[in-house]
Amino acid sequence: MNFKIIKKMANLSYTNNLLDGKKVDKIVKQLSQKDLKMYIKSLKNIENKNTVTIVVPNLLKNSTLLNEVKKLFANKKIILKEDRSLIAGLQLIDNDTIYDFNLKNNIKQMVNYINK
Amino acid sequence: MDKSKKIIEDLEKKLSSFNAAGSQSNVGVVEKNNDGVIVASGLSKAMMGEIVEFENSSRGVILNLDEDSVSIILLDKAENLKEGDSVKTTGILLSIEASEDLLGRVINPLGVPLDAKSKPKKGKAMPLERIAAGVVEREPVNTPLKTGIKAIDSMIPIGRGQRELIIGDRGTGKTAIAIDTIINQKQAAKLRKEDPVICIYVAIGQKQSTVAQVVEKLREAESLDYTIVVVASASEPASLQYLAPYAGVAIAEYFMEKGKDVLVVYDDLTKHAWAYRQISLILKRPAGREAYPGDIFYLHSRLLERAVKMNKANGGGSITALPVIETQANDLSAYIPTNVISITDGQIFFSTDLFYSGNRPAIDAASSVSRVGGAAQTPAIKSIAGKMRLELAQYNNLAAFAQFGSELDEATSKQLERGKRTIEILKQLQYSPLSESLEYLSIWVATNGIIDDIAVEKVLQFEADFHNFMKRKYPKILEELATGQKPNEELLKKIEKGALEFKKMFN
Repeated sequence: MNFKIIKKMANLSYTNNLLDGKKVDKIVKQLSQKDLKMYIKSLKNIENKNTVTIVVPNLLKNSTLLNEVKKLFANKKIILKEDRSLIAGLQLIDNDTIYDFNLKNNIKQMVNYINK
Repeated sequence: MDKSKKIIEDLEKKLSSFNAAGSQSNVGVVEKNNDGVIVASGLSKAMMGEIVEFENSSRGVILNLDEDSVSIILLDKAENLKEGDSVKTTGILLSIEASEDLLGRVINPLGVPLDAKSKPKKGKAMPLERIAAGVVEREPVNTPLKTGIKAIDSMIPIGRGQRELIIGDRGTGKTAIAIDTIINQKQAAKLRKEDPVICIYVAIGQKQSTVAQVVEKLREAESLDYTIVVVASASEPASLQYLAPYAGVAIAEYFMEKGKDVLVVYDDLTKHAWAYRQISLILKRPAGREAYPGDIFYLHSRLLERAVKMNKANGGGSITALPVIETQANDLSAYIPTNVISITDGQIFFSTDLFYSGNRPAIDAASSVSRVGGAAQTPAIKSIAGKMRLELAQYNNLAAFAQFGSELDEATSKQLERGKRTIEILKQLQYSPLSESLEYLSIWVATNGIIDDIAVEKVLQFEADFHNFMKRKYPKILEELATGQKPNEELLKKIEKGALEFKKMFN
């Protein structure tokens, strides 16, 4: 099956921005093993596009900041993660773009700057 | 204590201009690795020709942007790269650090030294891909670039800013001509009392041993001081071979922007086309004639278009390109040779038959041409070169008739004899380029009948001794000829006197 059609099917598998189990069951039955792989890949891509991951050094200490960030991505699913190596600040992962506003990244930039 | 204080001070000084801001990066995941070409998903904001960095700090360049993935060619040998590894964009387009520090060095297309010497100093980042200078910034080719080879300087002259193709079968002396031209720049600069033309020799897909020989030869001739050797040998990945000529011209542009004259030799573009074909086939780009991709013409035209003679308002620098193409069985009508012939401003054709019959350099004057070099030829050489070319053409016509063995009239046999001697005097040993004055004298004695009665096999001996005689006894004549001006009657008489005087001694 054409990749474009499979992509379209993956887009149609959602109802109100949520993956619809019934639709997925129906589609999966029509697909060969090869097409199924592409279908799963397309679903993953859509999930990634609709998800924002916020990484903070301490989940408890950053609750106000997190609420502010959540407002920025109102239409997206928010996942919270803790990574103590960030030291301070936060990291936003929006699909394939990473925004770094943390001390770990600043130190890394500083080292690169000195090495230059 | 003082030392540590100084280190801290240096660090503080460096960091005073550091601006700690948030950063944004575009990441992706390695999906496939096909013979050095990586397919990665993500990287939705990647640019064509952008450098990307893999998890293991190896680097690559983006060559294809597809709907859901990008294709990356690897710049390093990254055997340990595997599916699922992360890759991120750097926001930097492929460039090479160019500076005066590169002179005398042997580097790879990424600027990494290959000569076991220290790392060159940081210079100006010159982009590998760049649009060539426009019409307004240019001026016509008007200054000669002396090769020191009689046959070329007289019949197929090269001007600064010209693109002259060197074409021929393997082992016919193409590289030798390019090396001779580089070596001659020192001598030519000395006579003109200026800095030598900066030379860049780009070796693409060649054996390491061949490159080592070339470097050694340049070192012996003390020509390495003004030369940069860019090497992507046969053992390097196709990606580096593809990038090598662009790296060469990027360095050339650095010097050209400073108003200097630069000569770039691309040895050779046939192997460059092979490397690009390999990359394109792996990238699954549609294959055309001889399996080359559709943009194979643009590959070379955008490279050679960067050869330029800038006008005074833009610094007056120049880049002269000498691309080399290897033919198969003297076939000039193959795909890549015809492409490059149509791009360049002329070609020097090396014939296998001439090479094996002992005519070295084996330049086939009938198939060679310089479309713009005539304008750059000095009046001195121009005044005698036309006559010689005509005589040679007539000789070639008559020689075909003479093979029938019929009796020839006196005028015809005279013309044949002179032709033989002219061909003989155009022979030249490798790595022995001549100054313009000596070139003039050689051609003058041939076209003015001075050597008509010298045995053909003694012509080269006559020439060498005559040069020494003139250097010793009439250095002023050589000085006057070195100005490049058309000799006046008085000077011509002096030359004739000197030639006849020597001839008496020689006989």
